[in-house]
Amino acid sequence: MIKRVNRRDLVFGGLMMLLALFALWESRNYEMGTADQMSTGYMPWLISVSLVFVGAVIAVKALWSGIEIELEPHQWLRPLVAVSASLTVFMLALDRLGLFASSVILVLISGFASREIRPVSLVVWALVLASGSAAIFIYVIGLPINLWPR
Amino acid sequence: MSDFLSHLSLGFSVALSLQNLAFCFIGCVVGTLVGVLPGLGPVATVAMLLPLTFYLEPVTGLIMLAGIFYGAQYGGGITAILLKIPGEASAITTTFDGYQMARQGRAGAALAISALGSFFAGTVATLLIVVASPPLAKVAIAFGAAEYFALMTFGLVAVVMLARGSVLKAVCMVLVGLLLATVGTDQDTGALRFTFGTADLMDGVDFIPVAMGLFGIADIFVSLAEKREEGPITPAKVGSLWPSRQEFLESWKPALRGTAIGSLFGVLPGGGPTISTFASYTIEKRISRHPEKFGQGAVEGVAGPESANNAAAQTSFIPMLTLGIPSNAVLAIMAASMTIHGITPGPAVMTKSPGLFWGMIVSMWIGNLMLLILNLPLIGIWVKLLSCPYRLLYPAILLFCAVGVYSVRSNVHDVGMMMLFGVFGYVLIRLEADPAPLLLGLVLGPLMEQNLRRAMVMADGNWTVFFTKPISAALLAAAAALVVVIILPNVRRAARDA
Repeated sequence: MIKRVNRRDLVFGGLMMLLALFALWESRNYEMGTADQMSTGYMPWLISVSLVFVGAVIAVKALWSGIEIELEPHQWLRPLVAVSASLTVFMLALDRLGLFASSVILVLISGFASREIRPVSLVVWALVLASGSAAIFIYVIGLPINLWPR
Repeated sequence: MSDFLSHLSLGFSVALSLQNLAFCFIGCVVGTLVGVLPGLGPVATVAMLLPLTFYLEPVTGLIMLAGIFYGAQYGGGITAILLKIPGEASAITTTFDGYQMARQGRAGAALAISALGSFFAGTVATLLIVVASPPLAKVAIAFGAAEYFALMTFGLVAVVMLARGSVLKAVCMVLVGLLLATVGTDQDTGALRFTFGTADLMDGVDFIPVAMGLFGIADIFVSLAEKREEGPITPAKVGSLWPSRQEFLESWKPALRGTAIGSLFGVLPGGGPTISTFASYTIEKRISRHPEKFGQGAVEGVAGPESANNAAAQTSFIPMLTLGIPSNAVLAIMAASMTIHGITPGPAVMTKSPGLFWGMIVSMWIGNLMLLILNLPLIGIWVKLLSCPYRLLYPAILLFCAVGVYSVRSNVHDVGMMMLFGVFGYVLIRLEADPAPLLLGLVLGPLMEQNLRRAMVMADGNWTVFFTKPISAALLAAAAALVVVIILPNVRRAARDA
């Protein structure tokens, strides 16, 4: 019987190992202390070593536990880029442009994540949501944030 | 007995305040809505609304968040019955028979049985909490550092063993969470860990951006990336709302059993509503005299699981309220809410903030009552809301998350952090790893390290102390037993198929 590689688990195991090894490397100069006097690096070391181990087990198991599965196509790139961009711009714009403008921009950019873009309703919705969030966060909750650009 | 009554009366006096009643109502309505809408879950919602709870009294915030949690269990059942769409994972078993009942014109009966069973379960579970909490808290006070460490280990082991999907991956998730918890200033030594020179990380990785990213933002990625079939969904006609006498007779025992199962599984960390429903359905099918009825509209298949999931939702509060250990992601978020208000979850809460403790418990029962009375008339509205196009919904969620996460520390970088964890969460989901254990690791991490250190100091570095101290040894043995029991194929298969 030909067994295939389980790519998903291999990637996952590899990712975990990478993460753990990175942590081990970053913490290499931390003071370890002793069991009865644990210092800075002790706990991270324990966790990272365990993580490397379990990650390795998963990765090794993946080498022969693969099954041919039909995956539904996941069109992930566009939503990822659009949503991330909208959040990043929001983060950068909030202080300078104020809540209202930043909110509108966020909604507009995030609109590109969807397969169906209806420009007019998107703009209207952006204005509605920006007003709504201003109402809730500034007037009801009293968040200390600029509504308008400085 | 007099203790029991005085606790209850204190609870009622707190829970019946206008503000608390209002927010209980809001929580239940939002919860039902969230349960009805597939995709948006109670974890993401509770994470999103966490910032709002800062501006409320601690107990009010908790009441609202709790309402969202068990309200979602009610809501999930509604779409499961009417549309065969489980709004929540805990409603999957309801789709088996509930939808069939609806197709046979008995949707109203199914909905009513579901609501009544849930209310009954909620009442019993609330009573259980009232009765069981004081003794449990007393036991917990005797806990020392070693015992606490063993307890938290047991909690994490339980979460891992009962997680959906691969156990090994869940272990990794917990470890990643624990690792993230070490970021920041080491409490004992004052040294900085993994801060990469940024001031933001000096206080550690903030819980809220992680929670909102892993569950709220990642969820948006998943929903947008999947191919969604936008077709008109025709819900089944509701028909008469009252079950027939026959249906009543057939459902009261399953409801009873479901309540018992749910109460038991709910207390186990990582257990909770979902696994309770599967256990209940399986048991009902096994002991039924007509197992072939199941899948064709057997009332037992609705009564049992719907009672189980509500009982579990209520009793899952017990570990957090008495021992300070959250059993699932929602409770972890609520525990964080308490901490932010300066209340450390644990056995002391009962004595230091009795109003909060009993008020919360009583309000959970009131919430169940609200859900029973209000939900059935509102069903038409819930169904209409399902036709809200996702392209309008997700920008609203996104904006709400963005402003919400900012509002916590007035730090724009938290938005970026949330985004990064959103991406990470999406990656994890695509790799078939459930992110929830990560959150628990993050929440319990600092406490675990603190207790481990203390235990080791007191034991002079002797690792066997965890096995020589009786309570600690018992807890670790229980954890080991859990591992063995779960490895048995039947139970694992049920959890995996969730």
